[in-house]
Parts: sequence; structure tokens; C-alpha cells
Amino acid sequence: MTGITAEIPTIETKSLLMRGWEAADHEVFTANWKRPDWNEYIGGFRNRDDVWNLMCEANGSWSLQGFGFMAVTLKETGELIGMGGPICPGGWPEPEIGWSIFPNHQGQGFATEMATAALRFVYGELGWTTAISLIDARNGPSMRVATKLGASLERHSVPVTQFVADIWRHLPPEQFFKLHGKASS
Amino acid sequence: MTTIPVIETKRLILRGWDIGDLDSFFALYEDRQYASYVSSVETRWQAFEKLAALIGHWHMRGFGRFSVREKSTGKLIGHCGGSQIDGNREHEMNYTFHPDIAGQGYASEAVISALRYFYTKCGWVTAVSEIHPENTRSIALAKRLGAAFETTRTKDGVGYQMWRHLSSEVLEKRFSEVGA
Repeated sequence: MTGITAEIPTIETKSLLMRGWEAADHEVFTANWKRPDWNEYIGGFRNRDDVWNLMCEANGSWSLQGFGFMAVTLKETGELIGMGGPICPGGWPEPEIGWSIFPNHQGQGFATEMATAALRFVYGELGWTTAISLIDARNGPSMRVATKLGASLERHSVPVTQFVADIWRHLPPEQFFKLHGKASS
Repeated sequence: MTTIPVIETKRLILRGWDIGDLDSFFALYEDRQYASYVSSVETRWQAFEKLAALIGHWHMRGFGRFSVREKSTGKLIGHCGGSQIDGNREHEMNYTFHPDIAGQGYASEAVISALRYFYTKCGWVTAVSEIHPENTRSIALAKRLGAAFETTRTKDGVGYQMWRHLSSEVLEKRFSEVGA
């Protein structure tokens, strides 16, 4: 017996590489979790140990669920600029495509670029037939990303574990691919 | 890509995990008193998150927790293995076993084999275990493994005991016949 192999795919876009979490991400990720301007819509502050566990959990969920939340990095420099991708922890209404780019890198279209690639991946590679995004009703920039993706607001103020969010429903695969194409651009 | 290795001992198999392990993993925490010493797992979902984190640790460090199964039955009886949250902290050996298997030497067999693996394959030079002061079963196991009480570290108002495990050389001298 040679052991159980746990593989985490990578997703590449024009300027981004999404991948599994690495120990070297811990510093930057922890620093961003301290920032109220980043953590306010994603459950608030997490300490260093919690952040470590979150990264481990996201990696391991690929082995258990077949998907997991990923590190989002700049392809050119390797810099960690946020997190995103498929996620469905306990208490979630259904599998979600999430995105959250660190404050220093917002406003450059990375969230849209990342989320588009993630939807292509879950529809094209994982066989998802639908996907939602949970968005805080005060989070204007995220709602604009959802709108650009073609998603529509489905339900207001849904309680999800410790927080309340709106459910946005993404286009189903066929319509999504018609709008955004199948291949990454 | 990360491969969680397989270690075969006389009576046990240490290996990775899949989703089929979730229920028996959750059952490891059914003794609430014991569970309160080793983790915060109270619900099936917390068990899922914990299990995911144990697997994901392998990606982060190249070592992590093994599932421990009885060879004769295939039954999951616990887990043990390494963790290290920060690069500047010590390598830790963690272990959790179902109360039902006590008294057969399974836990020692598993932990010694895992420790041997980390010493020989992962470059560990020393290892500690941090144990809740009321967790008498885990403290007893640490003693059986030859670990030495070192100090107390207070966390969230609890004085956790730090036990230092035998070095690779002494472990092999003392427990050469245990495990693989």
C-alpha cells in the first residue's frame, strides 16, 4: 500500500493562480484577518491559530467533499491576494462560490476574474449544476461582482451559522458558459 | 500533491482518511468528558471540520495525523500524529483513542510507530505533547511512552502539561520490538 493521495487542483486565469493553502501563506493571511476593512463581511477577526486551522480545513475538505476554498495568488509574483472558490461548511444552505480579495488588491477586477474561473471549474470539472453566493447586504462591491457574473438575488437575510446573508443564485452551467465562454481568457 | 503514507504495525494500520471515516471519527468523541480535554468536537459538523483540518495539515507541513485502525477488523480506533502551527514552534505529537480500546497496548503501538516515522522520514529531532491536566488517560499514555513532564503552559485558563517524548535513539532502544 502506498497511501492515500490528497490532491488539490489549481485554477489559472489571465493574472491569477488559485491553489491549495501553504504554510507560507500564514503570515499574510493572518495579517489580513486582523483588518476590519477585510473581515467585516466574512465573520470578523480570527486569531493566528484559527487562521491556520482554517487553511488546513480548506485543504482537507478536498479529500472529504471533493472541493474546498482556495488561496488566490498573483500569477506573476506569487503574492497571496485573497481567498475564494467552492465552499460548503456545516450550516451552509448549499455549495457556494465565494470570493474575498484583500483590501490592498481590491478594485482591479480580481474577484470577478477569480469567481468566473471558479464557476467554470465547478460546472466544467466538478459537475455542479447550480451554485450560490452568500453576500452581506451591505457589501456593494461583492454584489456588483455577482451581477457581472450574471447572478441574481434570490433571498434576503438568510441566517447562516453565525451570520446573516443574501443568497445570490448563479446562472446554470449552459447559460453561464454562453455568457462567459468555456475557456479561461 | 500530498500522499498520506501507510504504516503497518503488528496489529494496526496507520493511514489517511476519506469521507467514509466521518461517523467513526465522530464516535471517538462520544465520551464527552474525554472529548472536552482533546478538542471542541460536539457535533457531526464539527467532526467534519476537524477531520478536514487533520487531513489538510499534511498539505501544509508534509506530516499530520494518521487514522489508526485495528488490522483484524478494519475498525477506526483513534488517530495520532504530528502537528506544527508555526514554523518556530515545536513539533507536537497528538493522539486521541476511543475509550473502548484501552488496556491492549494499541495506543502505544500506534504512537511509537508514528513517532518513529516522523523521526526517520520527516526530520524531526524531538517532539512534545500538550495535555489537559485532567486528561489522566493521555497523561498515563505519555508516561508509558517514556515521555518526561517538562512544564505547564497556561492557555484559556487551563494549565496544559508539556510532555517531551523520547529521542529517536532512546525510543529505538526501549521500544525496538514495538510497532513495525
